[in-house]
Amino acid sequence: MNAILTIINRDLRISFLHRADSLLVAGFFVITVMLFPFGIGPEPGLLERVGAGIIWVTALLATLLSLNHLFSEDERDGTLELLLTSPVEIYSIVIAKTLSHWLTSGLPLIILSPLLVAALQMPSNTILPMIIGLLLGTPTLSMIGIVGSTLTLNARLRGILMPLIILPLYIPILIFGVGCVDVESMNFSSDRLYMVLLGFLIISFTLCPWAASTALKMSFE
Amino acid sequence: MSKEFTSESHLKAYNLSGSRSGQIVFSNISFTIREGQCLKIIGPNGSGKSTLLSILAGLIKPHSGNISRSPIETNSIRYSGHKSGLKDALTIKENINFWRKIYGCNSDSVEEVTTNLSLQNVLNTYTGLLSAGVKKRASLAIVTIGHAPIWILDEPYASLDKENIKLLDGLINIHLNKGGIVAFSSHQESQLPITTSIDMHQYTV
Repeated sequence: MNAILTIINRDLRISFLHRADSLLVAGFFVITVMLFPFGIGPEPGLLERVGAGIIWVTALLATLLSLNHLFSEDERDGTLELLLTSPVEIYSIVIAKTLSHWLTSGLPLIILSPLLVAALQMPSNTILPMIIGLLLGTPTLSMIGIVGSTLTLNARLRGILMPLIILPLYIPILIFGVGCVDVESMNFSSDRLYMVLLGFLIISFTLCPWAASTALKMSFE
Repeated sequence: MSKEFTSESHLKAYNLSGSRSGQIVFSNISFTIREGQCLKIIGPNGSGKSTLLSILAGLIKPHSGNISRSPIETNSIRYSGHKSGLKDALTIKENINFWRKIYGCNSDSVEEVTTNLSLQNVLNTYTGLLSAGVKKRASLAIVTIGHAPIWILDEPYASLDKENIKLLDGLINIHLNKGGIVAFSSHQESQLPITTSIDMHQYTV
């Protein structure tokens, strides 16, 4: 546990020192969402109908953007080699990196989402389901993302390969995340959809660290 | 000097072969080094020196053959590769502190760890601003954290000037005198007491 906190602490410190890089993800999220009203017209009914999908798809793409350097920086400067020869379990390294990724990429998206719900003129009763949906969904996106990141660590066309692997796996989270908002906008309860998202989170937390640990070991073979 | 490490420390390899990107680069390497002994690996570029050291450090599995080491705890090995293991965005002190916590070593302070490699004046400097030689010394300081008995060093003299090479040799000699084990690769002549030397040229496939 100490090792996990140590790695997270270091990654957060680096993220703070490289604030501009961290803000890029949040900036991408906000700017991309804000482009849609210009692209599809400001018709209130239209934005309201597709707003949840716009925010969720952009959140997915923003998460993908931040996955590129997740392990590649550590591989480049030799930190990963030393971690893999240290007493710290690979599983713990993967958990720590996933949590660091979520704290620096997923959490800012959750914090910004109410502003974007308002900017897309969505009903006020969709703010809470958007926040809860992203709170349950973004850790899963990070978990799945880390599998893609470790699988493609030394791949030649990493920039193309990683999205091809990860994006199909993101689809169920996208569907239920958008569903939470749409259901609440129709004044129905989305509790069951939250349970499904929670189920995805539990499954991903069980399987993804194991898969990523195996992929990480294999990347050095 | 009193022995710090167990008298049963050893690093053994039997019929070891190693591969890189699916290609076997060397085969049939066997050796035994015990406490206080030093293994030097020499050979041309691409002969598998780094691959052999990575296998000894436990970073990768051998293609075939066996390795045995004692003590068997994962905290008994320190590895220094071609890359520094340091984050450019952090200061030397922050980097060393990180590795102290990772290795679970709270007894040695950052100052104690870095004094041996003359890093006192750069502790609060961002690593990215330092020269290759200073970074190399900092990455070697990581090896000394926690007094692990087995040191695996890949080209430890790279980027070091004569004065710092002497400094490093002094540290390694102290480590050997305490009963530690060192396995390293280098193109340079060494003043260290080499117990076993492996010329990769003889084992390259």
